[in-house]
Amino acid sequence: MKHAILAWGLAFAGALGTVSAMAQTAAAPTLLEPQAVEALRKMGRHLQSLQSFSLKAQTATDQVLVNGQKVQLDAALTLWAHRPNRLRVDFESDRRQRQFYYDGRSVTVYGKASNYYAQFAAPPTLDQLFGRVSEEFGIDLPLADLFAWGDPAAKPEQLITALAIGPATVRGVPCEQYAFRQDGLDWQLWIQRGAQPLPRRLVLTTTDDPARPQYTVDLDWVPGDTPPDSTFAFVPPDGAQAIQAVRANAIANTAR
Amino acid sequence: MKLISIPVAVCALLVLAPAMGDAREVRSAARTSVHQNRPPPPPPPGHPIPPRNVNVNHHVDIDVDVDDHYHPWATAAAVTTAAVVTGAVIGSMVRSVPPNCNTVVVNGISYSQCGNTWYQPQMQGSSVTYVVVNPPR
Repeated sequence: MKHAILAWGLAFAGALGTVSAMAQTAAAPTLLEPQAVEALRKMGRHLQSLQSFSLKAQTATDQVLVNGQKVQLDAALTLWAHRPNRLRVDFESDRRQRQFYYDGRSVTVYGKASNYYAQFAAPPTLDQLFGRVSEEFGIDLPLADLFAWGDPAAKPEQLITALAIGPATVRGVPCEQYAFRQDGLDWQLWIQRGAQPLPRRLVLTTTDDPARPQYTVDLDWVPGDTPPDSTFAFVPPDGAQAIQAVRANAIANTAR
Repeated sequence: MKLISIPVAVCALLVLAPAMGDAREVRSAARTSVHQNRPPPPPPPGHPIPPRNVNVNHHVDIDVDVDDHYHPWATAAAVTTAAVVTGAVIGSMVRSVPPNCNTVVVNGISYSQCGNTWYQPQMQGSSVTYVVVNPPR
């Protein structure tokens, strides 16, 4: 009896092994359609050519509970940018409001409800801003991809697949849809058709998390908008208190 | 909800609260960028980082911020949602302070004073957290 169970167990394990091997071989081939890769490059070049713009975005982000259950949280973003060294992003959800200011010298993070703000020195241009703020202070500024695409200095995506899916309309705007895969991340992109190849929707699926949480952002562009310089200058509101920004390495040390 | 009298509702919440603690803990969140927020690199050999006390994953934006004192829908691992514990340990960290605390500025540094417990707010990633500190002089 024991042997029979063992035999069945081995057979089952073998079958599982075959299935998983099949799944792996199915996922293995690299398929980079030139059309999709070129569309990504073209969009990147267009984004880099924009000297000044603003946009509104709607995001939906999955948070994963310890039991693997997903909870989707929505937020609204407003972004203003002026190359080479001005950025402002306002983040607003039902439980969190944040404003990020970058004026070429410093970054300010302001929490509206708490009326606290933290300020620290920043690199001189937008190209270096996102990486540095993430590494040094653990702040992932929203929509960093818009500045990394087409930036020759940015680390290129290690694409495993790049697929042209076909025409798709996003909120009434005619687009072309593409699907990409890289290690740990599947992502889809909807690029506006015509002379202004702007990203209109981005969907990210985190595939190295068994719950496969997703992030969706819809982008409503105002290209050519020239926001006044005051947009990027933080003026502490009445009663606002300055607090310290904790360095990312200090966080790691505390956790030790 | 209106059918339940307030004391009953409060009791129900008090009973449920400890049980809900675990189920409502956030372990991860979706990546929000193709280029950013990769998982943090593994610690160098011989320097394991145990997930203790501080576990604000600063490379994934875990949205459990409760700096507005309402709608705390979940907790992040090992970070207390509200400092309701008496005799809070110096150096421990919370995501929010009780609503009846006073903001006190001592030597240009902002504190939150809640009875005998003093908190120093700080910006950790994009979240405000509070560290229990010795009373400033």
